[in-house]
Amino acid sequence: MRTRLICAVLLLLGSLASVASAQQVLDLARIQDQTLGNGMKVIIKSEPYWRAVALGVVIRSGAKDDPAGKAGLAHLVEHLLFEPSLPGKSLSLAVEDLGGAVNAYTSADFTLINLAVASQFAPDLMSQLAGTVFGARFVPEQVEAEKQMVLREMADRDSALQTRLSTLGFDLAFTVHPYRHPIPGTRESVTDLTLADAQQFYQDHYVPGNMALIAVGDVDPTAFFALARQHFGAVPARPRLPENLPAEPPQTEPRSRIRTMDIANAVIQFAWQAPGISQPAEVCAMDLIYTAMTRGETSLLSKALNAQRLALHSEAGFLTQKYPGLFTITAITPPDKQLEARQAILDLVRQFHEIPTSAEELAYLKKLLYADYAFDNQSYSDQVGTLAFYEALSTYRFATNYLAIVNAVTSEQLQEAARKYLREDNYNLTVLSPESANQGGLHA
Amino acid sequence: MPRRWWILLLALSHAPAWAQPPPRERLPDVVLSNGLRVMGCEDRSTSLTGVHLAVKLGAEAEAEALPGARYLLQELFRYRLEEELRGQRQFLDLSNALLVGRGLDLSTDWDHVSLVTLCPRSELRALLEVIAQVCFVEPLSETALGAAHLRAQEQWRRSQANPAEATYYLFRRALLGDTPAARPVFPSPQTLPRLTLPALQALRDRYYVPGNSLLTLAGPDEPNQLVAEAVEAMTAIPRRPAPGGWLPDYPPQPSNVQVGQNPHLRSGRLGIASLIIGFRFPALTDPDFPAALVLYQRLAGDGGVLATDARFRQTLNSALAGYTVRGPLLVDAMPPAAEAVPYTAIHVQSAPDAIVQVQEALLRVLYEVRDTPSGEQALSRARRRAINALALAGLDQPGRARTLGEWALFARGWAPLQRLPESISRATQADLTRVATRCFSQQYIGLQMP
Repeated sequence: MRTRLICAVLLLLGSLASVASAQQVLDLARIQDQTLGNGMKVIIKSEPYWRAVALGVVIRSGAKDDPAGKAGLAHLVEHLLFEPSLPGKSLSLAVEDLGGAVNAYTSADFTLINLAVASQFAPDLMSQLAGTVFGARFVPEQVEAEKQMVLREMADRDSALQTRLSTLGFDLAFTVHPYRHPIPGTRESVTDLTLADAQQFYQDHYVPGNMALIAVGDVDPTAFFALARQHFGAVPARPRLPENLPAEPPQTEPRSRIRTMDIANAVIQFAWQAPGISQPAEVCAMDLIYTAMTRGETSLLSKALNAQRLALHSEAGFLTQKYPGLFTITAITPPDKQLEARQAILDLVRQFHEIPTSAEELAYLKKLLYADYAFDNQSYSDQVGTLAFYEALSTYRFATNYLAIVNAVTSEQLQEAARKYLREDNYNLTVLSPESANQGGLHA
Repeated sequence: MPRRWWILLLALSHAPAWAQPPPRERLPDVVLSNGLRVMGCEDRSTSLTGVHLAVKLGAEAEAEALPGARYLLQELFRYRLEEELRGQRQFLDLSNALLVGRGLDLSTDWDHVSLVTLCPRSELRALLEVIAQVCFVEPLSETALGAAHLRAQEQWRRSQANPAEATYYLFRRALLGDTPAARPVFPSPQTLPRLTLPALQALRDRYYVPGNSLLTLAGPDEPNQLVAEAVEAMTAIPRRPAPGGWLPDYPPQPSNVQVGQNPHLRSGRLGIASLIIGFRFPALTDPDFPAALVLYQRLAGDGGVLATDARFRQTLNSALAGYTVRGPLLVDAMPPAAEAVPYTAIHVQSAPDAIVQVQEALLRVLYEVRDTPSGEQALSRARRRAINALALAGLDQPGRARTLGEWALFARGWAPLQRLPESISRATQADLTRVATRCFSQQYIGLQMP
């Protein structure tokens, strides 16, 4: 049986090897864009195959734009957008009326509102969507109510090890850049936020030139651009607050932070500064390293840690950001294996410095990355999310070029990226350690 | 792709500026020489292709000695499909990536079994060949059966610890009587040892035959090309006689209550009662089905009567005084699905001594919906939600393939799906009253006490 199946598949082998790279996940030819007179960008991917459409508005401001001492403000404003005191019917009520779903989230770099409806109802929602991002009115009671909501969410999250680790890790790795602040803020900063703060942030950042409207699905581009002009183009242009963020200085030595907690196993996280969106080839090289470490049946992290019984769980993380972000490796280890696990992680990273990835392995990693990208963009809503993500960071065209850039990464570039970013002299080590564990030697 | 269906939506649109493409007259809907029915639907929104395979293997086919056999077969196929695709890692990386982390959905419904997955268009034929081989051709193996047994045992344990699921099965027994369709799909510890390889092999050989199956594809190609891929990949499956008499007629039962006791509903001294009240809906081919979808939407969502009827909410809140309840809704309504006996069901929980009041309050709400005109605004909301629910079912290719396939299966063709939005938009208050009178006259109740 196996032989027969393999024979059948072998017939396809010739085409399969190259097809993955040739196939477009997000085809630029299917996308049109226009910039309205007030500076707002409109991006349309027209797909007439099912009468549904996903709509998104992305605001190119997020937690990184929180003023000093006001961490959590961008996130609070996003919460306030859905309060029912908005003029007319609120967006969430309008979408509920259709049985659809509206989602919103705030990242360090941007804020996204995303919804999906039957396409025949989309025109009706455009005015509500425009009203949400341009016509919101905040009142003190709502600000207080949403602050309480945020604080409750924070209390739930703070109890999670992952949140504590992430907060400590970013705070350690960034000394001046606002990525060091947690997106929801801190209990203290959120408590101190005021109505005036929210109004000022909304005034400064929710301006047409700082936003993009994205539609994927059953939309006729001509008609949709006209609707966008009608509902979003009528809003006067306003200057966006200039983005003057302090650049994070290069890190020249390892840093570490250890917290003891009432936990059974230790959690170790290494974090390195990693490329931002302005270095696309390096971003894609890091994505491939991430893939090698985490994906497929033979992921390197799993072999180096889990299979050696040094970790109960291990994972890597790398999120492309507007400015240089972090590449992380995290492991949950038995208390007596902390040092061995740490050494195994550094040894693994060293492998990327010293041993070039073979052509065969690189091709495999690219296929896995292609698969991830394809499946991540499976639905119309997924595609709105991806286009919005890259438009907020740079341009949506990055999304359409992404696989081509990945395809062009060479083994040498991958090695160079590892040597440049994943160094032994500039990592950030965060450890959550059981109270009973011996801390000696764990510092960087 | 059923463009003709969607062109009908144009007539309902509030925005005539939204031009629609010309309708495609029909989807390719062909029967291969071995009897397999194949449908193709163009969708170029991504490079992936959604695959839906349905086999007309209902619970009735499980002889008394083999309850749970269908579920076990599906799990056996899951094991073999994953094993096969993983074994071909170098060729089928993308499908492999899917199987490892993205969900190969093999489900066992009371009226049929199905497989839903997706793959890159370039790997469609290879994936179909694997499916054909594993599900229709190769002999079942002891190794795969062993893996399936383990999964079945785990699933049984989970279902026993889930009060909502146990309540659901009581409700199904009330709805469908003492029939195989009302039984849990999982084999129990008592029946599992009887599910031997020869028994399963016989079931597979009889029902997993091309003439008893439907394959629906939604992907980035001309529909005829998609179908051509299926022809290439699936024609090699030998033709075998298809079993007749897929589903028996299930006439509506009289109102029925099934009561059970579940220790998982008690934590310390605090217990909670779990109640499901359900109603049969008209069949997909029934002219009243569109109005039934609207009726369901009158009940559902934050703006539906179950969430907005103040007296009912007050009763619910009183019935759960002292309990910590997460989530904004204390009551859930299950949407009707495309199946042989559509129904809707409402799940509610309360303190044990208040469950009768909650049940009465719930029925009062339903009778008010039946007897009191909704008002145009509420009716319009319910119509929009019903149309929207159809659209959102197909936001990705697997959803599209599944929706088309299920309608082809249970509505004796996908054409009724094309007409559905228009029919929904024409549902009147009189239609809702008629359907509610028809549906609410018989109540099926599953009740679990701690």
